[in-house]
Amino acid sequence: MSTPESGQSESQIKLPQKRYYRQRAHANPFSDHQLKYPPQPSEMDWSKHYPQFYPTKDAKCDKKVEFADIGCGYGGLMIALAPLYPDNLIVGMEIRLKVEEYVYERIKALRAQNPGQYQNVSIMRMNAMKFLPNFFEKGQLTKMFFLFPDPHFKARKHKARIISNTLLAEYAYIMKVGGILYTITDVRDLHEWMVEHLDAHPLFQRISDEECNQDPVTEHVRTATEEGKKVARNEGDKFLACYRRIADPYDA
Amino acid sequence: MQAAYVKVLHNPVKEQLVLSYGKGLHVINSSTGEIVNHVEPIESSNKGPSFERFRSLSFNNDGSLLATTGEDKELRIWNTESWSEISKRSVPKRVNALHFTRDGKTIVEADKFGDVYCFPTELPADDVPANGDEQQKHKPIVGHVSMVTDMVLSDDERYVITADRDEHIRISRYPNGYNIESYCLGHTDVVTNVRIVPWSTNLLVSAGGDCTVRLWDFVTGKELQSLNYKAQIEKYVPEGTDANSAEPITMHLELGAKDQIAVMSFAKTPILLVLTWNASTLTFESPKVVETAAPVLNMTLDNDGNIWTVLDNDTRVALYVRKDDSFEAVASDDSRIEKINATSTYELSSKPDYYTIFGLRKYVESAADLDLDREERRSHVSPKKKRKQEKLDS
Repeated sequence: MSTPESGQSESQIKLPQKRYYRQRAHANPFSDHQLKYPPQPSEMDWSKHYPQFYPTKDAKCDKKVEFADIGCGYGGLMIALAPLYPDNLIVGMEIRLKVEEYVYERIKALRAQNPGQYQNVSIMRMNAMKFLPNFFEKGQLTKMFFLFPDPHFKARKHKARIISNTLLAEYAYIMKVGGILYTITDVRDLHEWMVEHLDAHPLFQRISDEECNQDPVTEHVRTATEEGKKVARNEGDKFLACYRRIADPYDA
Repeated sequence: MQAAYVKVLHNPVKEQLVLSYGKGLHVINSSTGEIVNHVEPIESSNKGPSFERFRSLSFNNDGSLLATTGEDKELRIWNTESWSEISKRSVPKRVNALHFTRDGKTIVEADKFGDVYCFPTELPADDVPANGDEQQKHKPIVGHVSMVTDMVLSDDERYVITADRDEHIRISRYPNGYNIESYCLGHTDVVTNVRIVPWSTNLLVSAGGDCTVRLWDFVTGKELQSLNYKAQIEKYVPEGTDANSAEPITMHLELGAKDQIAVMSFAKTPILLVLTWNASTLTFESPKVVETAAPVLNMTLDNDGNIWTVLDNDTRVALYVRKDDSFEAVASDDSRIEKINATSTYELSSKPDYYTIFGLRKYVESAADLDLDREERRSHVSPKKKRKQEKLDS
């Protein structure tokens, strides 16, 4: 396999091939994976992820990660958004080790092929259902993405779904009021489940279809991910639902 | 072998001490040592003989009610005068912490699945749910994707505070748990205990597996103090206590309002650790060891500030009273403990595992493995994988 270190010139730097990074589609979010995470957001070393923005661990940087793609898979959305939002730091979290390695190699190759670009996008292997508050402060994120999440069809597996009434409290916590949470799936059941829980959550408000269609990100949410492309190839349905983080109506 | 007492809890108002041995409760008058009650519900047929029915205990504010639950997932509420059962309901999962609201009308419970539920103390008379139905009707107010190990309500009942296996302490609004106020983060191992400081109710104390006791301004999540007590207790922790970690694990943390102290106990370790409050710096200081005759399974402070412990040995109940600036065990023939220690619980054929708390720790491959640089990790390819890749490349 070629790596940038193996003495090739820049023009020969190849993107990683997905076939070397296959992994089964499921990971148990309840088990203890070997993960590395900071005890709290202030101790996070972002310099490994965004060296152009954070030259060292303790470097002062007024930019914080604002977009998080939860369960980013092969990273298609982040790669699409990176050039569109060059001033926004984007992080993908993926629990599957090999998939995370693929995205890492992909970003590394893209950075090498396009000097100065893709500096604002990075990936980490993480269980986002457990450790988001270790990375993000209250109200830090302006966009969160949940694209084609694991459907966990069986009723007894529903607690493993990435959208649930109790997990939404954590997402609301790390999101800024006004921030947008995007969900899309090709599974109607799961779509209805996500809508039901988000609708019921007092800190999220559904965004109308018209407004969603005006959002430049929506198009990429539909088409940029590998999963989205697969569904399109199979001519399957895609169900989109976007929500705005609102202030607690109870406080008003 | 007699079953040990696994939990001990003193009534916040009355001179009443409750001792749980799993299958039942002994209730004693803590000033005289008289055994005033023995509660042992009839065993339902499908549960095993060593069934731990009384694993979590909690009194309400005026001490008129006691909530109990255990491995049988039955949440029972008792009248502490008559010891009649006020209500009994099935809860969805095994409970790790119980807490009454100030008015005693609601019981809040946190379970091993990471969820927090509220139930009315009294069952609605017309509507006794069949098993399992309650789960449908009651939605959790807070949920972690991790086991919740302890839970308390803030003094003003505006917040519910939950601690989990993954080092988090979460501060959620109560009862609107959908709105998280803050996190108290910094622990590097499981958090096993959280307590509100009774004499300074905007503060929270926490402890667990990382050898620190931490003090928080919990509404903002700001850490005010982290006190490492390893040097004081190290020599008392038996070798190889936990194959997974050299650090002791805090089993229990109690705060004594009378003397403004914190008392801690540790798994398999025959000591109590007492910390004193410095009212001018608003921090804990001078951790002091009180040696005990055997490892402390559980402890509680009575209303005079004495420490009642249940020990992992034949004497079972030991009482520590204040002496100068420390604590000293009362003699075994002291009237307060003599009778209870002469009472039998029930015979066990083998000793149960009283230290399941070790299971809360994650198995961590050596820290060095985690610190492996990504490139190093990647360059380490198993021979089998290598062959496969060469085949694919060709």
